[in-house]
Amino acid sequence: MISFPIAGIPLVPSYIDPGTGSLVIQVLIASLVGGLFMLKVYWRKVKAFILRRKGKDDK
Amino acid sequence: MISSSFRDPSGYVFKKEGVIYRKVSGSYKNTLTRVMECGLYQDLVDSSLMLPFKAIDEDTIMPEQLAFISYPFEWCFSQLKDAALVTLGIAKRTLSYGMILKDASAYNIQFHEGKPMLIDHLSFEVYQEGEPWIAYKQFCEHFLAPLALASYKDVRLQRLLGVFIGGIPLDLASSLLPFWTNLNLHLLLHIKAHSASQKHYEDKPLVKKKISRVSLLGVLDSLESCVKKLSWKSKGVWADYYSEDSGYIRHKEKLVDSFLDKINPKVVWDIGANTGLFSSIAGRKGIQVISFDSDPACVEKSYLSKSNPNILPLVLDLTNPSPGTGWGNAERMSLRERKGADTVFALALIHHLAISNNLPLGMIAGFLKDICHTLIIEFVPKGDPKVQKLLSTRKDVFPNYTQGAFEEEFDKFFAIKEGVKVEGSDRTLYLMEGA
Repeated sequence: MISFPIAGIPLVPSYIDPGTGSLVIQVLIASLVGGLFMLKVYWRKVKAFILRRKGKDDK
Repeated sequence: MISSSFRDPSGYVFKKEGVIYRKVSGSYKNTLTRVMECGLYQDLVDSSLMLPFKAIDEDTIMPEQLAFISYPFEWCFSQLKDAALVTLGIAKRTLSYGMILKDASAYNIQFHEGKPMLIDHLSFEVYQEGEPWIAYKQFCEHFLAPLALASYKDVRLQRLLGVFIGGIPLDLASSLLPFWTNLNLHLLLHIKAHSASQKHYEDKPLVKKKISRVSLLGVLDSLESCVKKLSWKSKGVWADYYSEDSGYIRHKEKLVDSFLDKINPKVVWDIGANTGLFSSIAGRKGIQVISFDSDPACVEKSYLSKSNPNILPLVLDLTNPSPGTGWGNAERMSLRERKGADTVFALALIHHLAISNNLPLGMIAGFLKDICHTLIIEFVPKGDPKVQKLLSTRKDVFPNYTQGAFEEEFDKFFAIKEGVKVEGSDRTLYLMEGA
């Protein structure tokens, strides 16, 4: 697929203007929330595991 | 070609013999094939997140037809919020199929059988690792900014979507939001910092890094958390209208029910529907109902009751109905252009139009004749407590507001089939047919 790299960022062909400032802030926010999101996903997995174990023990 | 369908070169929408089709351009065919083959299409349709379509030939599809096209500036708070969550849900799911949602226009969502659904089947592209969400800015302007303004400032600011066809500019949203909303980290990032970044990079070249897939999911998750936490508690004065002690309502319900059985409409517009009590009577009969009211609190209550998928509640000020907007005033249709009602309900409405808005009875009749074939209308005389309330704060300059004049004016546009006194009141309910 053809992509249009703008200074290192690959972008899909799109008819909308993503806005330079909007892309910059998105990259910044992504670096902030990316790690938190990972933690959230792992926490959910741990919680589900504990609940499963608890369910088995109760039986 | 439909006049709103010029933006995306991936295809366009057209109407033939009253049926809506979508033409897929040669350059987009492979992408659409991928959407179908990877299972994304079926997943979204099965989850009621996207309108299904039927392939007509190799480059034409026919989507399931919508009963009514509504616009985001006509939605209540929770309708816009649900549409935002559907958009984010689709964006997340799309990534799991190795694709990405390439736009996040609120106009791409329509309410079908009571649920918000994506109607643009050409909204997907193949995802490349490292790519940010190209629709991020559009999502913030179309959804997040109006929802935040409605939630933290004033619900009426949602109507700004009708003024700014491309979404509410973030600098405007940022300046209107109260200072203390800076305490909301998500809003601080996605609206205030976003707006500052737009201003800072207005004329600057872009030098930045890529976004990993996990970080991209983090951005979508952050937007989702932000939207989910936004709320609006309605305080409209009309939302408790029917809880007032008004015995005549029961007889009015029976009359509306019996009139409907006589005319069997397929589509009803209830203009001035309040929370949709009378819309429900039609909805229960399987009739498609567009239930308009000018009070966002009434529409919110009606929408949240989820009483019937046949009923679509919308915010509309009948004295200033949605105009044609966008390029050539034709991109988004005016209310009149979207006509299609067999029957209009104008219940407990005439006094608001004739007295609060000084509209001559003949002008009301002319407008109603233009938008429907049959009319169920209630005449509320001057002696009625509700009319007296309207007149209590102003001079009575309405000598022609009488039942006789009402019948005379409406008789010019409609054949009056029935007129029945509503028990427990001095009101009369009429069944009229376009002459």
